[in-house]
Amino acid sequence: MKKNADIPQLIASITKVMTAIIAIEHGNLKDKVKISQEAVLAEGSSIYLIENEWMSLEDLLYGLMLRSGNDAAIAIAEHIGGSVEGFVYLMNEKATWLGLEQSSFANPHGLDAKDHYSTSKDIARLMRYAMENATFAEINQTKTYLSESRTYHWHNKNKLLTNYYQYTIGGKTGYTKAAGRTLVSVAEKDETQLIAVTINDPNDWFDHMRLYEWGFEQAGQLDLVTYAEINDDNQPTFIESVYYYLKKMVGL
Amino acid sequence: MKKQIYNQVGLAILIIFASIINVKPVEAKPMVSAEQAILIDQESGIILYEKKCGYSTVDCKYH
Repeated sequence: MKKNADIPQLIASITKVMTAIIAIEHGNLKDKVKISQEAVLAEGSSIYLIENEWMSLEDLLYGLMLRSGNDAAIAIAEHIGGSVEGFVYLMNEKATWLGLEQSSFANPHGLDAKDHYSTSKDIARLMRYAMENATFAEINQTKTYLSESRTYHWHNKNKLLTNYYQYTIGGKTGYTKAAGRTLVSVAEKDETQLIAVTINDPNDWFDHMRLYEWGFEQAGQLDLVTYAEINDDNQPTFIESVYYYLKKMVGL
Repeated sequence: MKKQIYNQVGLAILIIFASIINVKPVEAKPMVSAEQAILIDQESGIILYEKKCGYSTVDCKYH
């Protein structure tokens, strides 16, 4: 591993950003999905699926992203990938394609596993990619949702979106005892969109708000310290960075 | 190696350019209690803030 590289860590349910974008890209939202016993028996957060019931892929995606349903993650994986293992293969293929060099996926829900890890930088890159998909962005910014097969609403667990920070336009929470609290979020102010990721952060709501307040102050300014830190192959080139900042300065 | 040299030269030009147009100084970065944290610009992908632990000799709890 290169010097000063990120250390891959457990990431818990922010994994579901990858699950959702793959499902959106490979599936039809109107597909009806039959819920398996394996999905129903998934540990952790749940949308209380019932074995053999049918639910649309669209509803499962809302259950996945708003309620962090692990049962929804398994059902989606089985539908899109043919099996959980098949879907995990797609996840790792997508990670490779996106250049997420320090990420590995072992399941679609993010529960702790030896070969399931990522870094804050890789998750930020993943979220940046996912937010370019209009369907993902729409689901991701939904505060409450009523499934056609339920009589009660699902409320988004992302409190930055629902309560704390008015500029939030999306995000995904995560928690396991081993991973700690994980959070990826997106905020927009004055036509600038920022993405924040924290891993193992007991104060994640507060920290994301502080990062955004600071980040929006910096946005549009020529941040030399920041530029000095941009030196790996996946970052914009120097010319791209200068063009970007000049564009911001003249208000384009 | 070649890319690094280009980046260094580019950075020097950028500093000169910034000093000419009198850019506002960078404000103090926020302290974050996360083990890893990052803030990026969605449009450009530029990293505005990053905290990573593991190889640092300083306390990683706060940055």
